[in-house]
Formats: sequence, structure tokens, C-alpha cells
Amino acid sequence: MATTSERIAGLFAAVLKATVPQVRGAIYEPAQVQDGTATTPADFGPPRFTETRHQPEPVDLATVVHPDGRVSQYPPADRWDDWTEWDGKAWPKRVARRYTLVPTICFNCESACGLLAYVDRETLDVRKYEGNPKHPGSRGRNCAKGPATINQTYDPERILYPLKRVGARGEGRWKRIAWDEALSEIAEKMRASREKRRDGIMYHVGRPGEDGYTNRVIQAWGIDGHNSHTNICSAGARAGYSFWNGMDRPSPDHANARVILLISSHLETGHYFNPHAQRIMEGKEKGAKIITFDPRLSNTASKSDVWLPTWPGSETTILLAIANHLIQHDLYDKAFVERWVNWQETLEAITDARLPISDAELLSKIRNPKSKISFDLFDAVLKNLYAEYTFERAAEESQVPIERIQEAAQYIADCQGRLAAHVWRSASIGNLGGWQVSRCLFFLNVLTGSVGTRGGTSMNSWNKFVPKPFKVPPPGTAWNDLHLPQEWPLAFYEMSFLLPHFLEEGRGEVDVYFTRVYNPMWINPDGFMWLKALKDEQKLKCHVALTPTWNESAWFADYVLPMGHAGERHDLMSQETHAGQWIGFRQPVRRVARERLGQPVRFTYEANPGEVWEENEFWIELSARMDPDGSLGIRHYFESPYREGEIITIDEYYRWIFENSVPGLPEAAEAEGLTPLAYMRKYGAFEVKRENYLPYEQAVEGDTVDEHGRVVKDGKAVGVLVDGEQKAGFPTPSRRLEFFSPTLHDWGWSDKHFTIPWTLKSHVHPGEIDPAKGEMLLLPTFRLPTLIHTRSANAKWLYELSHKNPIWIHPTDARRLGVTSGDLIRVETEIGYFVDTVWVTEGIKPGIIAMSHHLGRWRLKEDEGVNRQASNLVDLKDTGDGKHSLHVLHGATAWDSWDPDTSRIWWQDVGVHQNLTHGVHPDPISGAHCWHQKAFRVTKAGPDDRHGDVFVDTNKSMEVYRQWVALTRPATDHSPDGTRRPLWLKRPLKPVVEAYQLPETPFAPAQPYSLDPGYAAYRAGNQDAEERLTQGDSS
Amino acid sequence: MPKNGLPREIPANRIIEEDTVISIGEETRARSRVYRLFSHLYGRGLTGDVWPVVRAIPDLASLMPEPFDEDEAAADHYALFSLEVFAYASVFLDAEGRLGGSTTDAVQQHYIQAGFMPALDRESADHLGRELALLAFLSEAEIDALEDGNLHEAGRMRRQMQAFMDDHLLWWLPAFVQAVQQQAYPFYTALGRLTLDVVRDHRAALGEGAGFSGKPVVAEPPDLLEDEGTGLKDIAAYLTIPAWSGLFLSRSDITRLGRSERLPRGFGSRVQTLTNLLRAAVEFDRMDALLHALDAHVARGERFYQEVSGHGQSSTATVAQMWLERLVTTRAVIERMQQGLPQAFAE
Repeated sequence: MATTSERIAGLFAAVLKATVPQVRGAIYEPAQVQDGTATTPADFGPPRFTETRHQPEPVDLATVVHPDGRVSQYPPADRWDDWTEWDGKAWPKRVARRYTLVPTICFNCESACGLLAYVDRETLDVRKYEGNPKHPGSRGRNCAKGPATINQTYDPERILYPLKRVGARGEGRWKRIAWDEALSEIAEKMRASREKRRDGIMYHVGRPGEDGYTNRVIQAWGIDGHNSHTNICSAGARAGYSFWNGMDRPSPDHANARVILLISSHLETGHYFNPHAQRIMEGKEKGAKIITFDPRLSNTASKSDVWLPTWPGSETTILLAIANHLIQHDLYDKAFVERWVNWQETLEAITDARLPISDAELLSKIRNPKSKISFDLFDAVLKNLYAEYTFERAAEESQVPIERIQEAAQYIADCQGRLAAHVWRSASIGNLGGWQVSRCLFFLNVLTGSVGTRGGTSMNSWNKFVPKPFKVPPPGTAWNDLHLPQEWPLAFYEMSFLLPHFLEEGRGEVDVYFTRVYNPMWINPDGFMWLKALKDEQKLKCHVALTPTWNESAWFADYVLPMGHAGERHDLMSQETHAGQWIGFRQPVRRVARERLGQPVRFTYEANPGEVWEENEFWIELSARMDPDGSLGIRHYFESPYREGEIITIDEYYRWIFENSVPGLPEAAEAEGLTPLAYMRKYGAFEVKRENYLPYEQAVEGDTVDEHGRVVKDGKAVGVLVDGEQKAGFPTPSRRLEFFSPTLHDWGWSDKHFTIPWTLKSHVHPGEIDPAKGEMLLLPTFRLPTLIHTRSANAKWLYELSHKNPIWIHPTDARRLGVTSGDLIRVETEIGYFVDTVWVTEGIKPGIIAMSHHLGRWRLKEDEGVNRQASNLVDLKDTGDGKHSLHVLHGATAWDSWDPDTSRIWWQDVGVHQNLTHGVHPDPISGAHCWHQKAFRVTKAGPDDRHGDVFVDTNKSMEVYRQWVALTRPATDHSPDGTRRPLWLKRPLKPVVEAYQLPETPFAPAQPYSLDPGYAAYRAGNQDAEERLTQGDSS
Repeated sequence: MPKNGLPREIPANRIIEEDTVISIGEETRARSRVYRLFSHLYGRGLTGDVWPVVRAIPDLASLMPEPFDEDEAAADHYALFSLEVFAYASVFLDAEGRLGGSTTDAVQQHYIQAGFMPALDRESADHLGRELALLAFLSEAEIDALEDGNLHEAGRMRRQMQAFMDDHLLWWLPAFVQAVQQQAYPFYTALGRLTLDVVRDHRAALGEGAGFSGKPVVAEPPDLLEDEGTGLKDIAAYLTIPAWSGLFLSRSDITRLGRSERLPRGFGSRVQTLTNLLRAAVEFDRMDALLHALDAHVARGERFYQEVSGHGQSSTATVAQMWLERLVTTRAVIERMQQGLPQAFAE
């Protein structure tokens, strides 16, 4: 064997013989130095020391006095450009750091809170992220997820370069490619698809984190290509709100409320968590009562004045019992209801038998052409309709003490028009018919007159501001049946979680499939169906994953393109965090820092770590390459409004918006001697409106008033006549709040259970769960406050805070099963089972088991990829007949030999991926995946069961899918006008009216969908078909 | 040692082939080329343009994949350096294992002093490819100075290289090479070994100097055993931080541990999967076996550093000793865990 000396000699000989270019091809060429031509960060700002010679100067800090009395301090904004402070971590050594502070927007949930990045002026490293005091939503405060951005940024395991797969899809072999190569190859496939058809490209977004940018891009492509995660998240709530008022999200004014009604663990984990939590606390400090519905004793529930641990699906019964209390005792705001609710339309529906009532005398009065149509009749109708919703019934169905329901009702009756109420996911996404939860909840807002009032509940579009970009492309002409098939004409929105089932049925195929911050295989129910689809190169022909980090689905991509975290990208965001309007500007902070220091940057990936890019620029370049000669009519949407014929830069894109579309911004900027873009780069946020109450009361001017009292302008209803005045009203067909929904009636859901706020029988109704058979209700919908869905694993601080998802179980159930905390149980669902540990707690209702939905991540690489041949034991088994298992077994049993003393030190749970075992449950109206599961058998784990085991039979998956499709009332059978969907209902990207026409030959399944009697019995008991979904009198 | 930094005793000219003797200047040129080439191999992998010269290197030639497939080579490079062993000094020297911290700062300080200004936004300053590029850059500067007859400048370059090695590179390079050796990539295993040899040989040629303080720049491990609150997650974190444990456990290492003991580990970061593994070992009564497997991992590390230590150079020996001490502490943690197992587990 050669000695070290000989080996080195051999090496030297080889390199000395080589030609210079052969060893100079390195990428690590030093930059041009010391000749003034450098274009890298190397040549700015001498002295270039990480430890600066500057010393912090005494300076008055900017002080924010929060409405709750707390005070926090920040570097004053006029010093953000150049800020020196001592490095606390270097203590006791006095080390000064010189920063430039760049505002950006957090990307770790949807709240869009402000962050302030401390970028080292000399190294361009980001040292930390703190709060931005200039942000109107978060007001300088953040939750743990904001500062954790630093971990994501400097995670050595993140994806830094564009990757293309080598070998078979899913094998896990990747090579780094240049952006140029990625752009050209993907653009070519997109062009080929677009030339053929307008539904071949699909953009499937998990966390949007921006407003309108990508939608504009998709629209410019001229396709129906937007898909989302909404149907596993908020579809139920959106539907319920929309049928009332045409808008799909609530925006409660917590800070000024008298009563805060939350159907979720909203204080700790809810939508817009940080900005809302601050304001809920403010409201509470000012004396507001908090009422929380949650079967689980969440932190929010524990801080509430009234906690109503409802049986899932019974929320509507309590809400209607409270409504009934207000109605029967004349405690509701009659003036508001008379003014804004479509009560006359409702009486007409009673007259022509579209809405039945049981009081024959009242019916005859209403039908009598001689009687005066008055609000009193409507009052009588309400009293008649809701009389059955007594507190006793509510207490019985919800399994909540009646006193608590009565107490809640008393608070609400005394809210004085200031009821801030919110449901977003929770019960609305858990239950079949969950959309009625938000409808019944908003009914209380209507009855108390708390709509858009100070301290009441506004709607998102009143408090969210999305400015228009330049040159908005026209609506598309296509309708992609993989997004909104005709079975769900009222869905909110795309039936995203059914994509693999649609592909399996042969409903279509996708040429280019983008997943964007989206991990469908993990986050959706029935993940093995996704696995099957993602592997299928015939149906998903090209899969491009846009993601900052690895995830299970990206593993099955053809291209993995690294997109930036919060401080590495441009986006514009606004959220309805309170009763005002603002915009927040996310920025790539190292790029902005370089530009401040005089370094021009063309593309953001030049300034980000590795070659991490941002989607904004990526889409511009990709779209331009998709249509290089402009022949597809796409390119011109990506040309500069300032330089004719040239591709737009990101500065120009936002410059145009800030100059033209944000009222007040140009003036505010001018007052500081800045351009609007410079103003936004400096502050990162702008408050458009401080307050925005009662916008529906605003006066409008129309050309005419039609026979329904609607104000019409240019042929379009823009308002409504109220007490002789033309008011803006609501974006519903009647321009009023629609108590009776003609839309639901006309589209096949004619029963009162659907047309007015009512209770619907959940698929996990107590009648469906027989504890004697070992059946329980699995509640999988809650989340832990510090987790970011599937992205938490890369933020170690967050992971440290929360990392396990044991099954919550009540002591009575634990005793019945013979388990104690830490024991394993097996939970059998419709399509398989999983095994997890239990946590015995009185914080969950008897009969229910609950599990946080974030944890239980897994990976396939070793089993499917490069080391496959060396693997005898595979975690993932696919037997080819539809049976899949995550099998991590060996023969021992641990339980009998468990040492409790040791377990106190050693034993903690491991997350389990429960979603794989969930069959898909698309609600026939809202399209929401009804997350709650009937656990057919919950048993103490057997000797062969191992923690984390998952088994799924995808044959059963398709069977469950077909059963739920059978519940739908397809547009082909029920559309009143031959269209696919009511035109007035929202869609992320509405196509032209012509695209709404039903196809001549709609998709027909190989076997017709019909409810299997056994399955129907399971869900609907013995009720007849019409009553299947409803609570009905017999229940 | 004279002020120009040249060693007091000029070593004999190196014989690189049977009939070829090269001068010190040629040797420096060879070194700069090696660094540049290796910088490329760590940064981008084996590519078509460097393929011919790599093939001429005796130690590597036999390990080259034949026929050469650029995609496969790129996939290997990505798999090893982006999924398994991260070629950043911070990963090995910092307590947090995160880039952009004090180690990155220290490296940048060396770059600034050397006038070496790579485009830092592409890759962190403490990537091995960057650090070797610094040595290439300084070696080239030394050649230029020698050709100009400027011995003072040549000496300055040598002192800078010496300081960079002593203060930084030598502290982590052995640990990195050891980590690569654990993976199933023979070409990079050989490359790692050769890199370590070249750097140590270079360091020897630079003379003892005054730079090597022997003071570790490696983060001190916490006293895990004294903390009553220590749990499995803390132990997993400890084991996955090389600066503390002296070990580098890649994803595949953790997978192999799981496979050998038939234990699940889940999906996620290394610390997460190792935590899962440890917990599963407790639950499935496999902790004793898992600890034995971990101990074998420690033993492999010990053998490596003992071998490195035996090289005879004081700087290398000091570094190897430091890593050995870390491994001794880790072994003590493992033993303590074994002792703490109840009978049911230890059987």
C-alpha cells in the first residue's frame, strides 16, 4: 500500500499534468476583487468586519403602548437603515453589531404578522427576526413562529438549489440544475400543454401567503389551473357564511366586543392567531365574556367564562337554542333584522310552499292576499320554526349541562350589538353538514344586530385590502372538471383532496402539476391514494414541487425548486385581523439590505442563500419563456408597464401597485419624501383604513331599482333600497342577508334543513357511535399552537415546544379499554387502522378520542429509494392489491414489562400519521372534507401492534369515496339553468359565464354511485333517503 | 523561524514520480490546483470537465464510476452532501449545528484578512469547498509572490494559511472526513482521506509556527449526566451535535441503526428521527441493543481518531485528542444509559 507521501506525490503529478482549465472549472472562483469591478457583497462598506467598530449611540427607542397597557420598545424607524447595538450573546465581551433592519412579513401561518430582520451590514447574514412595530395587524408582537424564521433560514438541511430527479420517480435521486435549465424545461412542457388545452396545468397551493399575485399569473396563462387546500380547511365555514351574506370569512372585532363566541381553540391556535389573540385579551380586559365551544379543554376553553364541551355535530343545536331564546323572548334586534334580512323573500317562499311551516293559521295569514305583509308575520314564522330548539334539547344532544347553555344565552342576549363570533375550521370542517355551524353562528350575529358593528362581526372583504395589479388578465374560458366537478355545484372551493380519486376514476390527467408549499400526501386524508397518484407518470405527467424544505410529496416530484422563507421573497398580504384595513409587504431581506448598501440585484436568488428563489420572479421568467414570441397571448402580461416590450422586474411590479392601487400610500410616502415603493420597503406595511364599520350601510347610486328592490347600475345589482335609501347591502342575489336561501332551494337542497339555518345530522352523531361495540368518535381537527402544519420539523424551537400527538382519552374510556397514559391503542377507521399512545385526561369528552393533526411525519427514501435493494424490512409495504402499511414491526410486546418508574424519565410519545387512515368525506354541499372519523373499533393494542403502525386498504378508500359521492345532488340533475354552479357564488378565479355551462357529456363513472345499504345504515340509521342527512323529527 | 514564514529547514524537493523532482514552487502550484480541484469536487461533485484529471489521480481512479454518467455523479453528490453529511464547519463545530453563527463569522474573518472575497450569497462561507478555495487562493498568491521575489509577501500568505488551518480547518476536517467514511460512497471516502492527507502534509510543510494554540474552537458539551431533567430528546440532540458528542449521525446512519434494531424512526430532521428511534427503543424494549449499536459507532470514531492521532504531527494529534475526549464522554453517556436500564430492558 502506498505511503501518504507516495499518495500525495501521485496526486501532485496528476494535477501538474492537467491543463489549467480542468482544475479551474470550480464554482468557487473568488469574486473580482480590489479592482473596483466587483459585483458581489465583497466590495461594499469598508471596514468589512463582522464585529463593527461602530459603537451603539444613546438613542430614544420607539415605544409602543399596547391597548392592553403593555409597553414594548423598538429601534426607531428612522434608524433602521444603520443600527448598531451590543451583541447580547457575546456578553461579557462587548461586541457591537452593525445592522440594517429590513421589515418583512412572517410566512409561518396565514396571519401575515410583521417581522423586522436584523441584517448584518458587513456580512449580510440575518442575525435575528423581531417584531415590526409599524405593522397594524401584529403591532410589533409575534408568536414563537415568527422569530423561528431564523432556524429555517440557516437550516443546513434545507433545499438550496433547483433539483431534477435522476432515475425513476420517487427513487430519491436528485441532481442540482441551473435555474435556466429548470425554467426552459418546465416552460416547454407548459407551452405544449397550453397549445393543446386549457385545463392541463394545475397549481396546487397549500399555504398561499400572498394575495392575488399567483392568481394573476394563472389567469394570464389562460387556463383553469388554480387548486387549493381549502376543502380540508375552511370550506364548511365559508359555505355557511356565504349563503348568508355572499362573503366567506368572518372578521370579528374582538377588542371592542361585549361577548366573544369562539367555536374553536381560537385564543391559542386559531386563524390569525397572534393578531386575534392580542385583541381577544384586550376585549377580555375590558370586560368581554368569552364563550367557547370545544369538546376538548383547550387553553382557550380554560380561559373562557363559559366552556361548552359539545358533542361534535351538536353545535348547531345549541346555537339554535340560543337563537330560539332570543326569538321567543323578543330579545333580538328586530330593527336590524327587518332592515337587512330577506324576510319578505322568506314569506314569499312560505307562500309558494318552498319553505314549509307547521302553524296552519299562520300559513293561511301569510298566504292571504289581503293580509298586509308585515315583519310581524316573519317574527311569528321565526317563533314557529325554532320553537323546537329548547335548551333541554340542546343540553341533551350536546351533552352539556343546561345551565351553561342558558348562561351563554344570557350573555349573548345582553351583547348590545357587540357579539364577536368566529368559526373557521373546527366543527365546520369536522362534520357532515358542518357548513350549517357557521350559518347558525352568523344567525346569532344577525339576531343581535352584531353585523359589521363596533365590537361585532364583520366580513373579510370589509377588513382585507387587496390592491389591483397592473393589466389584469380577463377571466378564463375553461372549466377544469378535476377542480369543480358537477357533483358539487356549491362547493367552497376546488375538490382538492379528491384529486387522486378523480384520477383513479379516469376523470382526467394533468400535464404539469405544481405543488406549492403543499404536501398533499401527508396533509390530506387517504394519503396512500395520493402516493398512488403521485407515482403515476401517466396521470400526473410532470410534477414540480415549489418548497423551501423536503416533504413526503416533494420526494415524488420531477423538479424540486427551492422557494424562500419569510425573509427571502416578495409578497403582498393583507388579512382581516381587526376592523381596519392594511397591507403588508414581504421582502427578501438580504436583497433589500444589499440594495440599501448600493448593490443592485437583478434576481432575488442572487441574494438568498444558495440559489433559493422567490415565486414572484420565478413565475415572471417562467411565463415569459412559456410564450417567448407572444403568440399565446401570455407574454404581454409579464412585460413592464414602464419599459415597452421588456420583461417586468419585481420592483416595477410592486412600484405600479403602490403608485396606483393603494389609496393614501402615495401621499403618505410623499410626506416623507419617499416614493411609494421606497416607503413600503422602509416600513413593510401600510394602514389603509383605521376603522371600517357598517360598510353595507354606505350609500350607493344606481341607474334604477328593480322589482326586488335592488339598486342596479350598468345592468348589475350594486345595492338595495332600504327604507327608501339606496344602500350598498351585501353581495348576495337579494343584496340582503339571506335567511332563506333561494340558491340552495333551486339547486336541489329544497328542504328547510338546508334552506334556512338548521341542524344537520353529522356522520358522527351519537346515534352512530356505539361504545358497547368499541366504537368511538375520533376528533382529528385540533392543532398545537406552535406548529406550522407540516413545516415545523425544520424549526427546531417549535419542534422543541411541541412534538407529539398522543390520543386524548377520557378516564372512563381508558378504564373501559384497560389502558393508562402511555399505553398503546389501536384505532380502526373505515379504511384501516393506526396505533398510538394514549393520554388519559378529563379534558376530553367521554366517547371521543382526539389527536392533533400535525405530527407523525414519515419518510420513504430508504424504503423506496436508493437503498431499496438492501432493505429486508420496509416501513412502507404496498402489496399491490390496494393494501398499504407503514409497518415498523417486530415480535415483542413491551407493555407487560413496562416499568412505570423508567417511563417517567424515558417514555414519551412519537407522533403518528393518522390522516392516512382517514377515508375521504366530501360534504355534498360545501365540499368540505368532514374530518371527524367514526372509529369502528378502539382497542388496547395487541402483541403485534407497534407504535406508529398504519394500515390502509385503498380498495376501501374508493368504496368510501363512492359512498360519499352518492350523497351529492349533481348539477346535471339539479341545476335550475343548465349551469355548473350559481354564478354569484365565489370562486378563487371565476371563468367567463359561458364556461359555466354544463358539458354535453359529463363524466359517468364505470359503476353508478349508489348508497350501499349497510353504509347508509351506518351513517343514517333507519331514516328514509330524504331524511338521511337531517336531524329530522325522529332523532 | 524567520520572519518571512518559510520554515527554518527547507524540506527536500518532493519526488512526484520516479524520475521527476519538483521544486517548492511547483509543489505550491500543485497544492493550489489540488485545492481548487477538491473545492470543485466538494462544491459540485464529479463533473465532465474535471473527470480526466480526477481519473489520473491514482487514489481515486479505481473508484471512479464507469462509465461516467454525469447525472448519476450529480445525484451521488447531492445525496451525500445535501442529505447525509453537510459539508459546513458550523455543523461540526457549533453547538447549534446551524449556519450563520459564530463559526461562520470566524471563517469570514479569515477571508477578510486574506482579501479572499467569494460570492458569499451562493454558499455559506464555512462550506468545505469555500475553505479549500481560500487555500487555493492563498497558495496562488504565494506563488505570485515567490515569482516576484517577494519573500515577505510569500511568508505572509503562508502564515495566513497556517493560521486558518490551526484556528479553524484542522479542528473540523477530521470529523467531516470520518463522517463521510461512514457513508456508502467509496469515491468520496477516498477523496476525504486524501483531503485530510494533503492538508496535514501542507500544514507540516508550513512548519510548527506560533499559530496553533491547541485551544479548541469546538463548542463545549453540556454536562448531560448531571442534569436530572435530561430526557431522550436531549440525548438525541446531544448525539446529533458533533461538537458535543464527537459523532456525526447522518440520516442513513440513523436509518441503519433503526434497521439493525428493527425500530421505527419516522420522517423529519436527524434529531427528530433519532429521538423517535430512542423512544421506540424504550417502548419496544430494544434500548440495550440500540445502545450497543451506538457504542459500535463510537468505537469506529475512536479507531479513526487514534489512527489520525498517530500521524505524529502535534496539531493533528491535539485535534484528534479533543475528538477522542468527546467520544469518551459520549461513551460514558451510553454506559450510564445502559446502567440506568431496568432489568427488563437490559436483558
